[in-house]
Amino acid sequence: MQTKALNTPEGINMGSVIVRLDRSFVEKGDFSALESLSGVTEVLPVFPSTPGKEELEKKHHLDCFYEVKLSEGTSPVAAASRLADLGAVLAIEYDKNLSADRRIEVVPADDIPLTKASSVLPFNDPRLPDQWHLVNGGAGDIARNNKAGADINVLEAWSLTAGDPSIIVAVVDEGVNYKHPDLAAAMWTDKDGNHGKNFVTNGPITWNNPEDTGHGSHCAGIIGAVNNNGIGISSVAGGSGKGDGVKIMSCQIFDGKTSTMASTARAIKYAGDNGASVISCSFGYSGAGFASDDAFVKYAGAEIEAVKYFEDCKNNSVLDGGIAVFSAGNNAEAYCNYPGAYRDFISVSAFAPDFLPASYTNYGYGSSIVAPGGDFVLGAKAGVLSCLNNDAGYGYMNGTSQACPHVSGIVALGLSYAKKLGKKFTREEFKSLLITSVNEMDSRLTGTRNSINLGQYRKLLGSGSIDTWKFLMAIEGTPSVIIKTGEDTRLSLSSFFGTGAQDFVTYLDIEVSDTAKQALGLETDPTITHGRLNIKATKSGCAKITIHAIGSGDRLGDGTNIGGMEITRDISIISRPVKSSNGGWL
Amino acid sequence: MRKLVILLAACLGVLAACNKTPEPVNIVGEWQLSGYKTKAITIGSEKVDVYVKFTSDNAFEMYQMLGNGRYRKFTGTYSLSADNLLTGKYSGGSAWAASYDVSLEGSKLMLTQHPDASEVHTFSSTTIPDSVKENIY
Repeated sequence: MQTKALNTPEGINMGSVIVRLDRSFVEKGDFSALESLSGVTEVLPVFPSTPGKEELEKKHHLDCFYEVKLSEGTSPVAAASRLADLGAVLAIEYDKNLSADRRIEVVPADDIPLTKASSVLPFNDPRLPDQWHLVNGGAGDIARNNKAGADINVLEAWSLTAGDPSIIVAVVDEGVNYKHPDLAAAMWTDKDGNHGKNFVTNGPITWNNPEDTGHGSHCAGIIGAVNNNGIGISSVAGGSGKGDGVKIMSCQIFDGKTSTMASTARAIKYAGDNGASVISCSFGYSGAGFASDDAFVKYAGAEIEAVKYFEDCKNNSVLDGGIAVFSAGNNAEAYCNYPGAYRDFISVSAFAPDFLPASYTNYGYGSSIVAPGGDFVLGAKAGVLSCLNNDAGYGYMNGTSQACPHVSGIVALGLSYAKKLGKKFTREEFKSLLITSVNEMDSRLTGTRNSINLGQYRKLLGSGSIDTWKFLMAIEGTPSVIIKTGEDTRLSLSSFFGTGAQDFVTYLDIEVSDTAKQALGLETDPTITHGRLNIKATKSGCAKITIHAIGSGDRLGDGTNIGGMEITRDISIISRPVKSSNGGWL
Repeated sequence: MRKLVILLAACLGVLAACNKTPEPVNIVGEWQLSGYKTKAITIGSEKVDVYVKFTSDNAFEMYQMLGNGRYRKFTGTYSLSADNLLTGKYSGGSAWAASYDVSLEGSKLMLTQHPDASEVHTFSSTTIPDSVKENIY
């Protein structure tokens, strides 16, 4: 039995276990062998099948995951032992309870004076001047040591796009208050008038349980609260006031209490089946101590497969799949929580208004990128300002839970812009563009803050701090570079891998096709040292080469390690007999 | 007879002098790169879009898009010598990549890299679109 039970029976849902069954057994449709076991009351598929998605469901084995319901008083461990004796049962997962990965401290905004509006702000939302995380002019009343530019650099990006209603972001979290005046017009709605689903109760979305915190509404507001409507806040991708913002789908996995892996996995599949392009997941398994991707897959196989299924759902004209964004966790540890730490997923660490890592943020292995999460140690307004559950309520929260939806919103904004331009990408290309649209943070990591040695974060803050403008420019395309024929060239890679390219990116290899070698007359293979591409072309011509690197950290995530994701960038090189020092054509 | 020889020599001298002094080329106007080749090859697979505007006060504006992305705007000054050698300097102080021998062939402005003709740029007369001027970094 021990070889079939993939995780341990601590912190679990006592009412059921999850099994992965042999497909040939499933296809026979006879579950009596399971149903007849002592203590088993019902055997149900974890994932309801969706018409038209059967092949994709099979690809990710979603048709083989079943939830075995247990009678009251039945020990899941004993039930697992009996299930393990059946040949059709390939694996058993205890259905772990999922705690929200958050430090839910809420500071209502009502009693805090508004910061004076600036003429540079494009939207008339009265609380935008207090949203330093969107546009930070460095106002002193925001936070101690507030730093101008400690934001997501979205101001100019809004002149290119502020969203697109065909781009849907699923907030996998507490229920979103879809009646909130800043969210109501931003909600996705299905043909039956639903704005999502409550996967805890299988009933309507709720946000008024006494134990609810407003976490879902807060994350939703960061992504898509309606911009330029004269009330409340602005958001990353909430449009320009013309009904042109992205849409929010509420996939409720918390309902005043903990969730389970099974309901979370179902919520993620629902997002993919119902048109979401991005899942924003401000949760994780904190303190679980996973040392590798394989360890997590054993722990939460159904959930990982659900995310991979979502990634394969094509729900927009730009990408061949969806993008999953997770919070890195709030334990101030040098590795990130799963699922975000999984190599293919984006895991977001947090910075504060002083543009330094937030005091609580996880970093290091598994961290993909850094975004504003706020930090109350710098003052109440140093949190992130967004919607709360009470109608017309606003408040501050801080955490990687807030950093995550910033990146989700930026991904949605990027998809909106790519759609506007008619561009198409693979999701791996798109993630590479995102992860490299950054500014390095390490040059600021000297000395201490609140007795924390800032040097401990060096080279461990993902690829750097996200920059929305750079991301949209990367979507437009990165210009070719000119090198001089016959000359040894050391080409800076910062326009391809961010301002940390020189010192903080780990490069894996350079892919040069035979055609490219011939076109440029490369007699030796290019190399990279200190973030510069060393190349010598002996012929005039042009060619593309591909550089593979690690998105963050010095090792890739794999079966035995937590690590970063692989990113790739194409570089187009023009070799000319002459070259000006500033790159001008003449 | 001696006078005739001297006169002939003088005429030949005048003719030779005429050959050495080409017609000055007027490059003032707006131009778009429409052809480019090196001695070996023409770069064809990569989109290179370059507009340049020369003004009568010896200033230039250049908009270039190499491959992808937006146009990058350059400004600076140029000088055209009596023998149609074009040199220039960018506003930041960088010299042009080369100097160019200039000629007009119909409505085409030809810039041939001086002195070895390793590159030849062909520009066509145009009006630089506002969409180019506005789509810059």
